[in-house]
Amino acid sequence: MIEFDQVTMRFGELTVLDRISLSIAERRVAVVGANGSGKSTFARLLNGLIAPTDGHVRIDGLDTVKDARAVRRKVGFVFQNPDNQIVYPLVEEDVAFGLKNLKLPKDEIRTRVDAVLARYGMEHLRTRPAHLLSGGQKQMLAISSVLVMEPAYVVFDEPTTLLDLRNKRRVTRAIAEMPQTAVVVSHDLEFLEDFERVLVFEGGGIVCDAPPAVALPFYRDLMASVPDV
Amino acid sequence: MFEISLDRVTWLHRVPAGVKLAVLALAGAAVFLVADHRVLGGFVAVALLLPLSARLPVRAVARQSLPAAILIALLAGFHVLTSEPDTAIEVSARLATVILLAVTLTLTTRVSAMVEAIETAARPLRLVGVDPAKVGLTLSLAIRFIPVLFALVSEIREAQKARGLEGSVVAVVMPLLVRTLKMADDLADAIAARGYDAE
Ligand SMILES: Nc1ncnc2c1ncn2[C@@H]1O[C@H](COP(=O)(O)OP(=O)(O)OP(=O)(O)O)[C@@H](O)[C@H]1O
Ligand SMILES: [Mg+2]
Repeated sequence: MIEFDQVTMRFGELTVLDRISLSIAERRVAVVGANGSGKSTFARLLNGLIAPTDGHVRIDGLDTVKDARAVRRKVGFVFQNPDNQIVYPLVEEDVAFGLKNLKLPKDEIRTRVDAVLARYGMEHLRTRPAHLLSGGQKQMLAISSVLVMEPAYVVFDEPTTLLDLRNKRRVTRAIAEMPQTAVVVSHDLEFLEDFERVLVFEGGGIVCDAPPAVALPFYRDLMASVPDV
Repeated sequence: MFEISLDRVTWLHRVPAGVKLAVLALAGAAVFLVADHRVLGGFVAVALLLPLSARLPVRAVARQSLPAAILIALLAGFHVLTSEPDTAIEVSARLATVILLAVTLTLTTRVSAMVEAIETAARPLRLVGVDPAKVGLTLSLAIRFIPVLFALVSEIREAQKARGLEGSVVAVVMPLLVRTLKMADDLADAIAARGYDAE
């Protein structure tokens, strides 16, 4: 369960989110909105990458500020650009990175890395240098490196924006099939049609919170009606 | 750079990374302490025999040694021209030894194993407040991001060329700086999000 309790986020003078309250129990939640509407800010609040200026964010009752370490273990985060997430030169080394930080025994690390690579069809890439992978393979690596930590929630901030159609499909299928709760920021509205709930961000708040059948047409109308600046 | 050859696991792959690093460091120091041409020749011979004994792919060894080989040739040529043929031999032999050993090391050792060995070696630094795990992470990041930065530079140069700015250094350096800083920022977030504790 994700809970926002009167959350305000300000950067200097700029109020990006204004007293947001909501709770999320659904397994597939999408976040849409114009550029600069605060989607990434919302996403980053979810695992304590940033602390709210006011209010509280709680994950299964854990405060993202006070219990930051526990929250990080519960909530995985996949960013837009896989190049900025991959830490180690080789695929299998990168997948093992987080587990090593937990100081797990070598055998267990190996078993879990094997399982994740097999699950996402990447065994044949395990000893490849990450910089030689395709964009889609890199993003799958970034996702694998997060899922190997077995988080209960995974936040995706525009995971398919840099990918071609085929790789986009691969990544969206992987997200659709994963057992975890996923909160996905995306401009790919087609992908969001199967989600349970869509949050539309605009002007510092959530202006629509509904299933995709209602929220996506609302968002399309909203974007069409906003005058150019 | 830092490609590892894993087609076949050789005896050199099985030698612990720490041992290989220690041999590299010791040989690297020793080769600069001797001037006897026969001993230097022995060093070069051993440095050549090591990758051969493990039958590492000759092409990979050659490709990785090439930039250094060019440098050695230039240096040697310079010393010959200034009529110091002895120095030419010494400099070439020393550099060749170190380069060949370093290439052999990188071709048979995972970066993670090397980093672990260095972390272990850096453990005493804890006494002066240095965190060996951080040293290790910094190293692996440096190695990981060399190819990323190269790709970034060529991408930016291409974009500037398309705008007719190929001569301008600023046109490459400025976006490179901006993109690198952004990348560093994102990376720090990604590392934090993956549960790495900075403390
Ligand atoms: N660390 C920061 N410091 C200052 N301002 C920030 C910071 N992070 C975000 N902002 C500002 O907050 C606003 C919302 O940013 P955010 O990244 O959340 O938008 P977004 O909805 O993700 O946009 P996009 O679709 O472009 O990714 C923007 O005006 C942005 O400039
Ligand atoms: Mg964003």
